Amino acid sequence: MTLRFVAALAAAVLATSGPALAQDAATPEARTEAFAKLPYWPGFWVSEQYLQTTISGSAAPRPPGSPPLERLNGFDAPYNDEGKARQAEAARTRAGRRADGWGYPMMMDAATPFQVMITPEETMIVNAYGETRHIYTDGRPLPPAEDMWPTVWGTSIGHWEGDTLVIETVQVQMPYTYFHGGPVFSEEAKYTERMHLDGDRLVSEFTVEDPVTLTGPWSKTINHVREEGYDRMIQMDFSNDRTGQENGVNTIEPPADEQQAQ
Amino acid sequence: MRTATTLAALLAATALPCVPALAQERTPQARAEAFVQLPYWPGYWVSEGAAGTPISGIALRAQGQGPIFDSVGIWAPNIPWNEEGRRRAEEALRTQGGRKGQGWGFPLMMSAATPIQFLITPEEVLIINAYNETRHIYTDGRGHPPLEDLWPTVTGNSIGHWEGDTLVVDTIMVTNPNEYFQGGPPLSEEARYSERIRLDGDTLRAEVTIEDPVTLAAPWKVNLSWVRDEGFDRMIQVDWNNDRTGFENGVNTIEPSDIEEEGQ
Repeated sequence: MTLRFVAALAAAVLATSGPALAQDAATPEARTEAFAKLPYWPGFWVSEQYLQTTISGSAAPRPPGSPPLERLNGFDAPYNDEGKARQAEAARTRAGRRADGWGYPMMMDAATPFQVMITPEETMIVNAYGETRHIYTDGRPLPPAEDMWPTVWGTSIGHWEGDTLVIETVQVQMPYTYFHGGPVFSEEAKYTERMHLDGDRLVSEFTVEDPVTLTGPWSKTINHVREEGYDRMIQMDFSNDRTGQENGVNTIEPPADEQQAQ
Repeated sequence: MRTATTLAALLAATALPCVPALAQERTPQARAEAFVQLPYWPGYWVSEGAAGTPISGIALRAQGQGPIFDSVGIWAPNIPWNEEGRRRAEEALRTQGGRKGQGWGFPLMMSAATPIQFLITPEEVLIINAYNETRHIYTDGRGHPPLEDLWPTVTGNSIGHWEGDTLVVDTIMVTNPNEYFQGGPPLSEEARYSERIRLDGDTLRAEVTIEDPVTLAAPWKVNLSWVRDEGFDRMIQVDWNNDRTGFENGVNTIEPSDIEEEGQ
């Protein structure tokens, strides 16, 4: 990673057109005009799947007859042979694994609230574990391939189509590596999101294309709703994963202070 | 412990519906009018004392190649420790050899080689670094939450307001910074951090005052400054998993990278 990082920095120095876009600034008037056209999505959003999740990790039951909610875990993706092999390996090794965090795309389908901070040049999506997506909307393209390498959250650019934020994300590490509930897509996967506010719901339409693991595009829609009870974002370490395993079933281990008392 | 605290905090927050309303009730026109008053600090800022730090992690100033800048690190020469503070600092220095950090944490992330970014909106300013460490500074007029709804965290709880182009930040409830990062000052959770941040030409400057009845005999005043680090065209978030601090014969060393270890 060190070598890659140095190489990337060197490449970034060569690619001077990027920073110029963000820093050559639009005049204050132009920024204000741009800001006035942008939507405002305040709140602390969770995937509808996880609304009112308690400390047990289980969400509140939905009313009988509710339509099933779509997920980003990739369990039903149209995998090719490579994708099926990765899925089988993931199924074999998933039990009891601890996570490093949600990562992308699972942070967009999670019980952990995220915020969407919108400015003319960039939209940030940040969750309570500090996991942050930087979505550049200043008109820049993706960096050249030689200046990108896979990361947990990938590289994103976006643009606005009316009140819809359209995001393109590439160079995401295989999500399953970071979070055991994530899909097994490859680093060549391209994720497209169309995000807009629909009443009190933030709706994200995802399409994933991955020549390595999928036979064709895979599309899912995730509804985000405002979780109750939050008046602020409280950043925490991802240090409270107490996943255990017993007799083939995932369990929740006692918190550290209770373990010490035993 | 943390679970119980979190639940208690959630319950308390639910009982305070007026606070989030502050952020959600502004009209688009009012938001645009507020936005035009705000400054714009684009760029990827590093502490002036850490600018140009090579991959060794040793800043140029530490190599005798540059002026000395103020810092909020435990090594700062002017910390007005009281007896408890001195005891903690001596213990921290005694045990820091080879210790690995979990990240920078606050306040060290404000005095670091890792670039930070400021995202300024009418209701909130985000300060975020490349290790996903994020400060939320609410500028929507709210006060700090009541004490029963606060508990110490690595980045604490911050509120702010603008005095012209100066961002004034008040931060409380920060865990002992030395627990998170071995270079952090061993301040108590009762410490209060006041920052006044403004752009001065191409330099971002902050006057920081730290008061702590537990460890300091007087306010600790620090002048921080940041410059735009060269070579960044975007923020690339990385996990804090590359701390290769080692320790040998009483001296901190840099352990081989994973790639080099595999090759051995």
